[in-house]
Amino acid sequence: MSNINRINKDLFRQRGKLVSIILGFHILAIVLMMLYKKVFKVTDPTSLTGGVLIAIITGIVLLVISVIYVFDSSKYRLIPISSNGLYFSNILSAFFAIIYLLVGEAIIYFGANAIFPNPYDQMMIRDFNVNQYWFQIKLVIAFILGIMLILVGSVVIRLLVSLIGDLLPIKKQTFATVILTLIVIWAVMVPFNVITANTLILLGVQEVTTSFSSIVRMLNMSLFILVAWNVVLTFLNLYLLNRWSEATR
Amino acid sequence: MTELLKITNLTYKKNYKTILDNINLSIGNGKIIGLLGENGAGKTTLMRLIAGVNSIKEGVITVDDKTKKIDIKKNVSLSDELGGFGRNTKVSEMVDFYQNVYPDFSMEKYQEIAQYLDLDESKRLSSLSTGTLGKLVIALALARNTKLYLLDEPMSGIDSMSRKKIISSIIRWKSDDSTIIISDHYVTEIASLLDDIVIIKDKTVYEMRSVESIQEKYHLGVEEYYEKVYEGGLPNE
Repeated sequence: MSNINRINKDLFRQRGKLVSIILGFHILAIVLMMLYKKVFKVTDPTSLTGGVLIAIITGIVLLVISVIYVFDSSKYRLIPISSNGLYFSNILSAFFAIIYLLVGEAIIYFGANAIFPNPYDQMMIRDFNVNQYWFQIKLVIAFILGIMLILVGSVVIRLLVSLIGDLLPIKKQTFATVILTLIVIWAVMVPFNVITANTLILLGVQEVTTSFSSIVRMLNMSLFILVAWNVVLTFLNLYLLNRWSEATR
Repeated sequence: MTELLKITNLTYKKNYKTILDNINLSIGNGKIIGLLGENGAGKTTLMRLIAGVNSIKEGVITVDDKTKKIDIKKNVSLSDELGGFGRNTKVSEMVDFYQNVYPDFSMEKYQEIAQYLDLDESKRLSSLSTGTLGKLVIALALARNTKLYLLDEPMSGIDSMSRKKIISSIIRWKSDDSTIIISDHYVTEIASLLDDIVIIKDKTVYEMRSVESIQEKYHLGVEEYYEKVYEGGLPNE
């Protein structure tokens, strides 16, 4: 077994465990909520969408922490694997964890709705269930790419904060690091917003109307921009990781 | 004796401070080297730079004629403080992790060392005493079959019985052609093990000398010699 496969196995197992715990807690929360409603005879319908949203946000936050932790920890940085290998293993395992989380949440959502139907969610499912399959697939892809961008972008910010922090006389002062992080986030967001906005204008966003074909075109543009940013930030991460980054734990 | 580790013009700066300045060092195989220096001298940083955990900005490190980080990591086993593992992690899970990610990790060797050091695999990290944790770190580091072992302050905060066990395990499980670099500021503990010493002083390698030559030339033990160097009582040749 190659070294990349060895670390992949460990990271996949670890992230699988993390997502399983989130899904498990979500199921438990739904069961407890329904039990509560039954015991106390609450008849008001309760939407399950909020729970799904909370579970997905929790999953994303924990995955971001977990991805960053791999680059910070000497536990992983000591393994005889190239920085590129470590990066792609880390991001790929996070990607599959996101897919697992989304599929798991979809199963929980539809399953829970089948067992405990409520008008709000049924309306939402009906609205989404129009015959625009290609559009729906694109929407899901855009959502996944957006989450990947959050992951990759968080790594950029962490590596930049670490690099700049090493150049400044601030050592490991928490307050100074928080301020530095906020400055770096702002410094990264400014060019990100300017470039994204200008690219959308170049691609013809001003011609977009409320018609379905216009919405599809907007979605296509978003997909293109998401892919482009993911690629650009991946290259930046690889450069920072190979040249400047070091384990801090 | 062939050259295993070569460090050329290595300088390391962090937070506007120079931690290591123009380090030049050459170490052959089959030796036990003491890396000596006071607290904050840069011993741990030097070990982390050799192991590829810290990034080299100025200078070159070569291990077994290889300069690429990935190749160096294959040949170096650093005694990690295991901070990356959660406090609830079982020893057996850590052993599984090592076995999974290090192709050169020998389970057979680990079990021999663990048995000798009385390590219980069913225990969790949080329940281990400082001494047992130190033993575990050594067992995991030595169970890899590499050319260079970097043991960073292996006796720090450990009781005398555990220290003796750790020292004897280092002697027992060291292969003839591998080199072990042990850093410490408590020189007495490791003096009996050493072939050579490297003294880090004023951010650089002050001196590298064989223990034999110290005894022959100065009629001093390693500890007395080290103290005299730090007090400025001996000229640097």
